[in-house]
Amino acid sequence: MSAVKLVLKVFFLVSFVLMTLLLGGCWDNIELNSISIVSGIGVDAVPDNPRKLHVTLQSANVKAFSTSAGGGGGGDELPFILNEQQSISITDAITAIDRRTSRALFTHHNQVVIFGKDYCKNGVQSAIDTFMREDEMRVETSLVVADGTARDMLSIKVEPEKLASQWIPRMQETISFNIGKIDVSVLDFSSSILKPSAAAVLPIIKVVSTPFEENQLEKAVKETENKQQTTESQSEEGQKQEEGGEGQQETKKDEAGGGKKEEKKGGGEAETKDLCLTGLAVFKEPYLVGELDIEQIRGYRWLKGDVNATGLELNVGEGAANINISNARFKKKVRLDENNKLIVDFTVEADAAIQESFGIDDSEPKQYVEVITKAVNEKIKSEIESCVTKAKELKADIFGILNALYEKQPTKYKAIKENKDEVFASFEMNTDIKITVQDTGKLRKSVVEKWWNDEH
Amino acid sequence: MILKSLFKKFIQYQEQKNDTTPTKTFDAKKSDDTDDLLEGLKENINTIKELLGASQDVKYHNIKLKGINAPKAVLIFIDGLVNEKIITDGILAPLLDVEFNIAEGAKVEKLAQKIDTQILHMADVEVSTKISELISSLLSGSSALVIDGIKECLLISTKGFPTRSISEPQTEMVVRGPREGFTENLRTNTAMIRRRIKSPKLRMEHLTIGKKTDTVVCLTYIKDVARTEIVDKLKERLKKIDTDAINDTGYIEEFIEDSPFSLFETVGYTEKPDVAAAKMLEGRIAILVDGSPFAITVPRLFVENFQTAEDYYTRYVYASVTRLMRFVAYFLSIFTVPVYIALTTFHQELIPETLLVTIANAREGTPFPVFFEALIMVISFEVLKEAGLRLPRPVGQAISIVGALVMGDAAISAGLVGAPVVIAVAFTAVAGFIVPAQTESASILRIIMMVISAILGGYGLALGVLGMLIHLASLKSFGIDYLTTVVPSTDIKDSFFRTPLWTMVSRPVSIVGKDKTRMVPAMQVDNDKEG
Repeated sequence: MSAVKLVLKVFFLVSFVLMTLLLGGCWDNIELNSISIVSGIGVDAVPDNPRKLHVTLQSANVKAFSTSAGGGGGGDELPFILNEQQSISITDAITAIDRRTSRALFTHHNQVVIFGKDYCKNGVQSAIDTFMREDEMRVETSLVVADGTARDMLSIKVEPEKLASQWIPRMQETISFNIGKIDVSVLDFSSSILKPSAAAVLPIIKVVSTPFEENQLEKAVKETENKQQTTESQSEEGQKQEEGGEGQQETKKDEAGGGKKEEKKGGGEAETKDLCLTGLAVFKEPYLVGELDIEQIRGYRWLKGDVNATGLELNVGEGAANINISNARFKKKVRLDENNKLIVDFTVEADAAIQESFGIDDSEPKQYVEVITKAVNEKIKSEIESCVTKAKELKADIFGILNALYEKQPTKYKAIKENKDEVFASFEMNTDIKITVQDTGKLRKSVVEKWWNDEH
Repeated sequence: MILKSLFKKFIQYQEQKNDTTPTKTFDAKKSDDTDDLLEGLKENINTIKELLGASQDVKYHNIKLKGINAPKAVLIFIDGLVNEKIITDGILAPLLDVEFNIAEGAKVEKLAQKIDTQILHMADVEVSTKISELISSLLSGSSALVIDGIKECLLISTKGFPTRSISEPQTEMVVRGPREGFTENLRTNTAMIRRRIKSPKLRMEHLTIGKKTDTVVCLTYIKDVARTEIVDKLKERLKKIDTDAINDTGYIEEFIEDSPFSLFETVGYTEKPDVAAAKMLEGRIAILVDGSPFAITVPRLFVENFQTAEDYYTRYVYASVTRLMRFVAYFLSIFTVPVYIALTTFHQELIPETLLVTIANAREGTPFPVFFEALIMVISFEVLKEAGLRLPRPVGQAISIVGALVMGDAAISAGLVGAPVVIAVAFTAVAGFIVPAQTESASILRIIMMVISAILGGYGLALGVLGMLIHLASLKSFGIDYLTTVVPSTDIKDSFFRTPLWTMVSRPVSIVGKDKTRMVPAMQVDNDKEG
């Protein structure tokens, strides 16, 4: 190897290294203790000024997340820092907040975007545009509607997640069994309102105080109890109901105790409160037009074909039963008849397993199964109908029926495009539900049966 | 000056790579007229005394042989290097027993040969006429018998110096497998290899290297199993060594390695005869150096870092799993800290939120950037490691207490460093020891990668990995690609996994010479037929 070759080699090596280092343009490192991790963004309406937004940023106060015993200063501090700004746009508000914080706002990890109810009524288009366009925040971020203001929701203390903005996505993941997963991201929402159906739903979440008061929000309580029952009966598989009841009370006590403890510590100003799913907000285009209550949520999910497994509570005459639905299969056919009437043929096939049953005569298995099957069919049908009625009333095609029509028969869709709201409001449903009871449980003979009649 | 020699070495390295220059012939001793022994005893002794100087351990034992006109003789040996009992029983006793009757004026012919063949009770005797030969064998423990009146001397092997007994090697501990290790005595070492490989094809070729030390270097290989080109290349490189001292195999290693500027060594070493034997049976060549308990083996492949002797003594399933783990641990030991730095300073969005908040909580209030935090921990670990390595065992405990308490616990509670960095560095440190042969390269690479990732984040880390792979792929050891057997080839049977021994029908084809197969295929026991 000659010296010239060597020099050339070294020259190329050095220039290559320099080029990769300098042309990468990747110099902007940020230390972790110079960023403020934004965990939730709330958007509210400003009462007097419809052109302005009230933006609330909830950042994690990392000092309060200390896990070590002697970490010092962990427990008493509020787990979050709230920054608020009224401005004409979200980006503008964030920039304004950035000017008065010591740390750079880090919005990559934003977990949830909360819209206040009042803001939704005015239309959420500007916020959605920001979240879709801005390149730091993710389009997979969950969207929820606060029953009240987003600011109030972000300023409470919750357990055990500490931040409401962490609590909400986690709740949306775990609520699934009875109601189903209702996790709508920014991307889902914007694509829903841009499609022919032009309607979308968002979960509504309400702040409720701890300890839980029975009369405060009846529907929510009922729903929570149902959920607990099903999960417990699931885990204990047909064990006596009384035990389940006790367990439920215990959990309640625990909740209350935890709340009190928190109050005793009481360094932070915010109270520990609970959050609760109370229904679905129905959006027609970007405007909030109405709500579905808890009962109607499942009807919505049946029609969307989202349910794979769920629990059902039945009332059969005097008695009651709890059914597990599994292996659900759906068929949905959308067509227009000659009079431009929208017809939906909807078929559900599913397997049912009886989890709990009391007050229903099960001495004749064949009859018993028939009774249950009928009750399940009726229950599902009523759930679907209740939801459909509401949707028709709101003229919001949250089921995506018009989408289906547009995809299958675009020419026919064009014909009704002009008055699609009216066409949707008068659509006809042919529901066909085929439920097979596969499992009546471990019991040969009901334990409750013998004493049931004495009580009632 | 340093630069100049570096440049020289670089050019030499390039030449070595291209193998273009003809080699100098190895010629340690130049023949010289004055080198011959003279007839007169006095003159000879004076010459020897002149050469060896006033060394008190050189003993000149005057002998008056029995018989008429019997010549005088002097037995020269170096105290401490010889076994005096052998000298008394094997040389002096028979020599003084015999009568040498020599007629007046007669020429004393063939006397040396006569003493060698008929009188001495010794096996290893040479007759020499050269003073240089006399001196060198004297210095390596032989006794020289110089007789008046003849131009020859007898060089009698009476080596008997104290040596360490064979013990379990400290560098390569095993749970299962042979526990003997090489010693500082070359003969013991060659014997240990001979005992393992009783093939007549085992070759032990000796060279003497070192102008001052005259160290015996032994080239050991199995003929036909080792590739002739590699043997020739090695001999050529050994002959090129022109230095005054060889103290250990490490000296040889530096002179013969292919890539003197690389972090990765291209010459392997072992302290275990069974490992050396196994490597020779794969076609490698072992080099033993007198005075060193380590054998070095060439060619060295990257995969050898991850192979241990015990892999072949335990069952293959476990061996395969542990070997895979070693690969993973080696890369983790390099990249854990750099990845941590890159993620926490450049790519926070890649860390799940909960983890990010936890890390941020630990980082809260620490004064240094995460890179310096990590650098402090890595360097203090290296310091502790080095300190613990050289200390006597009782003091070593103090070091570990200081290390564990002060470096780990106190640094965190004082808020100087965050706990995640300590965890990452501690894991790195432990993982690094899983591949002992590469601990040094890993600790330097780690710091390089840390610097790159602190400057350029994940992009820099990707560049670093790329650079490391390019470098590894460009390395060669005695003409064999360093990454052979890591990349898919027929030799992959013994790289990421250790397949059963009966599947390794052929020796590693990338290294081996003519004798390619180990066994008849399908040697495994056929249960159906036997049962």
